[in-house]
Amino acid sequence: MADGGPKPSSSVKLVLLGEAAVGKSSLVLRFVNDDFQENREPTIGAAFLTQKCNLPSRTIKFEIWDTAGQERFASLAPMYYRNAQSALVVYDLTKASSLAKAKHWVAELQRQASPGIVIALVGNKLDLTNQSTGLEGSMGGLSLSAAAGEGDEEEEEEGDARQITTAEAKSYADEEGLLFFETSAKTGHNVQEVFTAIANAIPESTLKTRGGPGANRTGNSTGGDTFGSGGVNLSAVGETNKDGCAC
Amino acid sequence: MDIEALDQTVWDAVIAGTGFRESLLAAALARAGKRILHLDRNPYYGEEYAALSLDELKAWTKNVNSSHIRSVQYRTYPAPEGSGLKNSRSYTLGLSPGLLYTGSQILSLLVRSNLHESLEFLKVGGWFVYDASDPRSDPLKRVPNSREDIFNDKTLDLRAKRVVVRALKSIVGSEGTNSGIGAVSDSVSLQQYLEQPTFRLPPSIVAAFTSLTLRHDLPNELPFGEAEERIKKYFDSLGRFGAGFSAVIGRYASGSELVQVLCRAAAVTGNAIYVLENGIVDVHEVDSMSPSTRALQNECTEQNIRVSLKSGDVIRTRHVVGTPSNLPTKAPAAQIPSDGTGYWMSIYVVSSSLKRIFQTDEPPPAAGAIIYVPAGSIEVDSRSNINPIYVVVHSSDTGECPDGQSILYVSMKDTSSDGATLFDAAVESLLQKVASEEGTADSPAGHILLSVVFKTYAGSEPSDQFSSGTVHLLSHHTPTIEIPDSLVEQTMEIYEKIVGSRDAFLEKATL
Repeated sequence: MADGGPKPSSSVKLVLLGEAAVGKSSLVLRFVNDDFQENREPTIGAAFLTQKCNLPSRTIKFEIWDTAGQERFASLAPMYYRNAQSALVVYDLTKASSLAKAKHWVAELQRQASPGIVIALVGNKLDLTNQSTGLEGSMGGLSLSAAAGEGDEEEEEEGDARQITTAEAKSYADEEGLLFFETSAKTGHNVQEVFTAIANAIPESTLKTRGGPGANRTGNSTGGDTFGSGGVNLSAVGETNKDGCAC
Repeated sequence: MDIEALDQTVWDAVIAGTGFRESLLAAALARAGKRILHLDRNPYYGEEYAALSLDELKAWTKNVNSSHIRSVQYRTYPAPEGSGLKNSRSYTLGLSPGLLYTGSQILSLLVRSNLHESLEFLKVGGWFVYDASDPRSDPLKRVPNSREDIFNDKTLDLRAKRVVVRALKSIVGSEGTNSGIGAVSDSVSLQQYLEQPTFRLPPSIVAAFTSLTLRHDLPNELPFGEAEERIKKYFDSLGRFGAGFSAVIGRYASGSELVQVLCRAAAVTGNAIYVLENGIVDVHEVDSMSPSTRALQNECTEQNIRVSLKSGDVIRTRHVVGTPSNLPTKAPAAQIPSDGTGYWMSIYVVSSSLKRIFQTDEPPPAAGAIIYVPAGSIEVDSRSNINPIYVVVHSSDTGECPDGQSILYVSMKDTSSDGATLFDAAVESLLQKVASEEGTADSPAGHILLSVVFKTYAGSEPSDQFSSGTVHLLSHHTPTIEIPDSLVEQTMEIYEKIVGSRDAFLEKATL
C-alpha cells in the first residue's frame, strides 16, 4: 500500500564508547562526512551528530553521541547510553590496554543499558597493520578474521603495530554476542559496514513508535503527523489545527 | 575544557543536584560559555526527576534519605503465569514524569533552543473524570474539549449545555471580559463560582472543570483566580500542535528524559564537567571571613567561594547553586515545616494496556491520559478519599514499560490518610471498570503488578542564610502533575544573577 511513498524512517540512538584516542570521533567523522583528520584534538565532553543510513526497506537516522574517552570523572557515559538502541565500543588494535577498556564498557552496557541494545565491537586503526594494503578481497569485517590470525603468526614485520589479533577480539565478541569489525577511519575501510550492520540488527519492534509500519503517512492530513506514528511534531509550529477552542 | 582535577580551575558555578531547575541552569550557563561543575550525589541523573529501572527503584526505596520524602513502600503483587513483571531494565519509571502544556513557556523554550529534537513528544489524549455512581454508564467521563463535545454530551439537557458553554466562555474569556458575571472576589472558590445562581452547575461539571486545573485541592478550596488561570492554560494549549490535545509527555518518563537532555546539552558544549556520586559538604563564603582576611585574599581569589566536596576535593567557584538537601545548611537539617503541604505520590505498573483511554479522534493515538477521581469516590473500610486523586496514565508507547502493560502515576494531597490503601483501591477499581469493559475472553482485566508509594512534602521558600549573594538556594522540589513554567522563572532569576542578563537564555552559543 505504501508503493511509491517514502520509506519508513526511524531514529536510532547510538552511543560511542572506548578509551581515549582509539578513534571514536574519527570513525564518526568518516561515517558522517567521509573525511579524516590527522592529529585530531581530543573530544571534550561529548559531541552529537546525525547521519542517515539507507536500508532497502527503511531509512535509519542515527543520532550519534560521541563521548569523550578521556573523561576523567566517568559520569558522562550513563547520560548517553540511557535509552540508546545501539552502542559502538571501540578499541585501538595497536594498543592492548584499549581492548580491556572496551570489555569494561561492554560489561557496563550489558549491566546498565536497555536490554535489547545492539553492541558492535570495533577494532580501529587497521591502517597501522599489515592488512591495511591487502583489503581488496575482503568484503566485510568478519571475512578478515581467518587471514588476520595467520598473518600475525607469520610476519612480525616492521610497520605492523598490531597488538590485538583478530582471532582474540573476534572470539570475545562471539562469546558476548556482539557485532565485530576491524576498521580504519583513515582509509574508510569497513566504516560504512559497521553502521549498516547495526542498522540491520536493530529489532523492528524497538523501531515501531518512531514510524514503523502503520505510521500514518498519507500526506494529506494537516499538521503534526510527519514525525511518525506516535510522535507530536513540534517543529511544524503551524497552527493549522487551532480548531480546539472551546468557544 | 579538559581538566585533570576539579581544583585546577575556578568554576563560574558549582551546581549540586540534577533536578529540572539545576539541569536547565547548567545547560543555559554552559551555552553562555560559563564553566560549570555539575554534581549529583546519586549514581544516576535526575534526583526527584530520576527515571529508574525496577532494580534501581527498589534500591531507591531503601536508600532514599531525604527530609521531605517519607514512608516509602515498594510492593510487588502475585500475577498469573506469563503476565507478571518483566526484566528490570524493561522499565523506565519516573519519579516526576511531568507533562508539558503545548502552550507552555518550557516547550517554546525547548523549541527555540533546538532541544526538542533530542526529545520525542507524545500526546496526552484523554482527560477523564471517574464517576462510578451509575453502574449502567461508563465510569470514565471524558472532559469536553469544545462546544461540540458539550452539545454531543448525552448526560446533559439542553439548558445545562448552554450554561456549561456560558461558564466556559466566562472563564476562558473569549470576549476579554467576564461576560458580565461581574468582578470575582479573591475568596471565591472554583466550586462557588460554578455553583453561583447564574450557572448552578451540577457536581459532575464542577469536577470536569476542576480536573483541568491539575491541582490536588478540593474544588471548594481552590481559589477561583488560580483555577481560572489553569483552565485558560489548558484551552490556550488546545490544538496548538494538532487537534484535540493540549499537553504532551516526553518519551521515557517525560520530565526525567528532559533532565537528561538538558545535562547532555550542557556537557556537549565542553563547558560543563559532570561528576556523579559527589556532592558539596561545606561552603566557605568570602563574606563570612573577617574584612582583614578578605583584604589579604582579595588579590588572588577575587570573590571566590571555597567549596569542599564529598570526594575530598576543595574547589573554588564564583557561584554555588542547589536545593537545601544538596547544600550544607547552617540551620538544623531542613525539617518538615509544620504547615508543609504533604502529598502521597506513587507509581503503579499494571498488566493492561488500557487501550480504550488512549483512543483519540485523530491519529496518532495518545500515550498519556489524565483521570481525575473526585473526593469521596473511592471507599476503603467505609472511609473514602477526602481529597481528589489524580491518575496520570502512560502507555507502553512511552518506552516506560513492556507492551501489554501501562504505568499509572497516582497522587493526592494530604498525608493523614493511608495513601497506599486508597491508591490500591483506586487503581483496582479503575482496572476492573475500565479494563474489563475492553476485556474479552482472551484479554482479561488487568491487575496491579508493582507499586511504589511515598509521601513527599512540598517545600516552603528557603530562607536565604547565605550572605554574599553568590550562593543560590533553590526551594525544595514540589510535586506537580505538569512541569510548571514557574521553574523556568526561578532558574532564570539565578541565571540573571550569574550572567547579568536573561538575554539569549539557553540559546546555543554562536562561537
